[in-house]
Amino acid sequence: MSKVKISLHNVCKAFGPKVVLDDCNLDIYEGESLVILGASGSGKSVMLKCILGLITPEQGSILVDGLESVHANGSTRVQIIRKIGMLFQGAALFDSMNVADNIVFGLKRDKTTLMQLVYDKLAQVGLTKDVANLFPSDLSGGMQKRVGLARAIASRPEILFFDEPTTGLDPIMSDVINKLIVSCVKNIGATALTITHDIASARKIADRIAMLYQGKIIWIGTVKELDKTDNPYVRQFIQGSSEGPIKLPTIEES
Amino acid sequence: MDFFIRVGKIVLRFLRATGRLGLFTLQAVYNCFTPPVYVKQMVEQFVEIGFYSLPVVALTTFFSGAVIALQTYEGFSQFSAESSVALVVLIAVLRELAPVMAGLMVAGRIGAAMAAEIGTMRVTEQIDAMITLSTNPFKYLIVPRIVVSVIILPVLVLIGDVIGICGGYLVGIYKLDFNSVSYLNSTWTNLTTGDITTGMAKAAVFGFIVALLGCYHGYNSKGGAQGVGSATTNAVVSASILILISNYILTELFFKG
Ligand SMILES: Nc1ncnc2c1ncn2[C@@H]1O[C@H](COP(=O)(O)OP(=O)(O)OP(=O)(O)O)[C@@H](O)[C@H]1O
Ligand SMILES: [Mg+2]
Repeated sequence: MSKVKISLHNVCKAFGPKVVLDDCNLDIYEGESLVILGASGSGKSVMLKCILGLITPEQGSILVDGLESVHANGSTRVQIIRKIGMLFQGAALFDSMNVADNIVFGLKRDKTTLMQLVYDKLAQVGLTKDVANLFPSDLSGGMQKRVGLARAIASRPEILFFDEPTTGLDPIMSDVINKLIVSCVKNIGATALTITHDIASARKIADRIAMLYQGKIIWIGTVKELDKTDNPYVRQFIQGSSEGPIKLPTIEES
Repeated sequence: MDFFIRVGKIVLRFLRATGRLGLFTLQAVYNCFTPPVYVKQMVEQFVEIGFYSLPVVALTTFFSGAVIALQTYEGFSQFSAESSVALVVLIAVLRELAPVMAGLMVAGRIGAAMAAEIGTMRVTEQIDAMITLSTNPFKYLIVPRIVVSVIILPVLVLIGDVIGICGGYLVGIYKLDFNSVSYLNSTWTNLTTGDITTGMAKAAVFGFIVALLGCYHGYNSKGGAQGVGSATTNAVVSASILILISNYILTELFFKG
């Protein structure tokens, strides 16, 4: 395997008494597409935000290209952030700006180049040119997600984080987005970290799949290994069964 | 014992909030003096804060000047009412009413808008998104608001000065039957640059307070719509209180002699 791009080492994060990440370890290699699975509320989004430095973990170390991200500030912080493009779970589009300004936010080129970039990115996420002048509030949830995706890849970052990129999209559009993610990894050589609940989509885009449970990565392997594993947690998750070792705090329990 | 624990908790919370605001202030001011500068954001804020605040500032200062003329006439009617009313209107408007009224009005209009806008951006992760797009939210969102407020409030107050004096003048002429020429004359002879500049200096301080607290409460808002709502309220209330307190302190400093 090639070199390690992002490495989490003993990362712990708690909100008050609630422990979210508990001694979490994970290595992501350069140019691979890693998918993270995990129950709702298990801390997948928190993990991405810790790597970005938006949330500071209490303990542990996170290396991005050898740079320590925890407590980094000044130029190190800028260097790390520049490498990463992020699609937020809720799209997080700037609602005071139109779609075009959202997509090229923070980029400094001349106007025609930027407009061309906007149209290219819109086409890549399956949106037409006339969307460019609309405001985020005029878009459907799925369209907002795709504009967020276009914004994340616009600066061609080396590392891409996608927080549930296909949630809220129809199956055909999901496939378009899956192919886009694969092409970012294969053609541009980006390293992608995707969170998804959609197992079918995970199979299509992942080189490796990791499962987060109770603050730890409890399983990691390729798609082939996923089908053969006898890890009961993973089996339960991919079968989508409520029977198994993963207990959700439902009525019966309390 | 219970009482002391409770008081201690309140004191600690107050100290923590003060410390946090202090750090925020330092960070904001530091970012004011380091590049890059977002000119487009500045211009937008000039229009939003300066231009659109004109009507409220004009209305409030007009009626403040008018009411002062009415009230002082009562007190001075036996003596040389004309020149005294003109003098009192002039001093009251220039030194106190125009800056304080403009400050409070802008706190209600602009401070609330800043807290709501930045607060919404915080709770919908737009600020996080901005950071991941290599843009410092302090420079992009907060610095333009603070800089423009500090510059524009003195200008608003200068306009408010003129309108407030007009308010007093109109009441004097049409209600109290003063002689127009001698009223204007005594206004003119009593006019000092000191009164104008101290009023404008106060306004700059008030502008800083309004923008700082609006941004601070918005930037640190939590939760959803409710969090943004209380951030807005806190921004207006805290800015108004601080304006009145600092107005007293500044008055002591400026007019001690
Ligand atoms: N800012 C915060 N303050 C307090 N608790 C938080 C905060 N952010 C996240 N949490 C908690 O951390 C836990 C993990 O949240 P996270 O958003 O990472 O879940 P997730 O795995 O992304 O779930 P989903 O699949 O539903 O998006 C949740 O229980 C949540 O309540
Ligand atoms: Mg999430």
